[in-house]
Amino acid sequence: MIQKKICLLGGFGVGKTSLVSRYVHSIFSDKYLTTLGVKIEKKAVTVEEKSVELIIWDLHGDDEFQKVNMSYLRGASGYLLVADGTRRHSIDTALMLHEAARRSIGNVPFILVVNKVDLADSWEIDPTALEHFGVPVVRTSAKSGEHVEDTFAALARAMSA
Amino acid sequence: MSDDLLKSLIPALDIAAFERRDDGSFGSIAPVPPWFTRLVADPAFPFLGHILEEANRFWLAGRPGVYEWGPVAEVDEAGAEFHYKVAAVTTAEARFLIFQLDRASDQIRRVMQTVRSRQLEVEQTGDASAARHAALRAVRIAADHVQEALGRVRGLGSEVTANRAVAELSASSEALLNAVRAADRPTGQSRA
Repeated sequence: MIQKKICLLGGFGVGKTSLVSRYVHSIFSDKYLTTLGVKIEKKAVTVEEKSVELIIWDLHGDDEFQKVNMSYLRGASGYLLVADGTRRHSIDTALMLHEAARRSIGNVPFILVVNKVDLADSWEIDPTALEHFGVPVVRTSAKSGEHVEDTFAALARAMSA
Repeated sequence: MSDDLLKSLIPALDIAAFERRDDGSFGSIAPVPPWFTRLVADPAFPFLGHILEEANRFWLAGRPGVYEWGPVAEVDEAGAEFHYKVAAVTTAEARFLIFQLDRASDQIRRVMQTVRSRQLEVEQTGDASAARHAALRAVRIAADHVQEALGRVRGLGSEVTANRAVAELSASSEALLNAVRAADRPTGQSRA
């Protein structure tokens, strides 16, 4: 079976681990549990009639105490940049990590994931403005599962193209 | 030290140690500790991905030394998170792949959890004084860890215990510094 490595990048508390839990285990918890280092999960999928095992690297959130070590990205075929729609600055963090990732591993497929669409009333980001970032964007909810499966599937397809 | 002693010592230190054979396979050099048995079913360690590729390059270079990765977070059967580190080792005689529980990272995570949880609350409520309260609480937690480790240093029985205590003290002091930085941050910066 072909293996493809995916990384999740973003600030702390944006829902990276929750997205992976929703996608891999179909579970969600409201309790925030911070990640230190990296969590590695696997999921077997079918991409264009080929069996692929996604190796999902859920990296710790980036902030002033814990900078993401870009060496974690080595060997990645693609990545998800995760932001929290209720915290505007998390988009800036995600885009900053995108630049760092591109410098580290070059141009590989990625998607900007703006999470917590279930809290759309509290968003600090105008959803219509997302299109202006010039990168592929999707709105998700790890809580409800909205667009979570689609997002990983879209990235897997882009990585296999 | 006899082989039998070594085989009892390695799992006692929560280490899973494998010799990397010339054909690329791995052979355990001592019984693996229970945490590792739960974690890894495939002895080819496919989940390591590029880590193994880098380890292979390191081993093929042939220079004696240690190359480390991690921490890697995992969840035990009770749902509690723990951390481990991975190291490739080259000696004059052989090449090894080592997995070791990383309790120091467990401690750092507890402090980071406190600081970040409260920072999220602050961002949601705009209550800047809560950030300082959270940071001070994190300082207290880290200080407790230092006190615990110091207690173990005072009752040292072996060099191994000493090394562990020193590692825990180092982690706790790093956590203390982080927490102090958070406490010193002007309240206006709590909302980035």
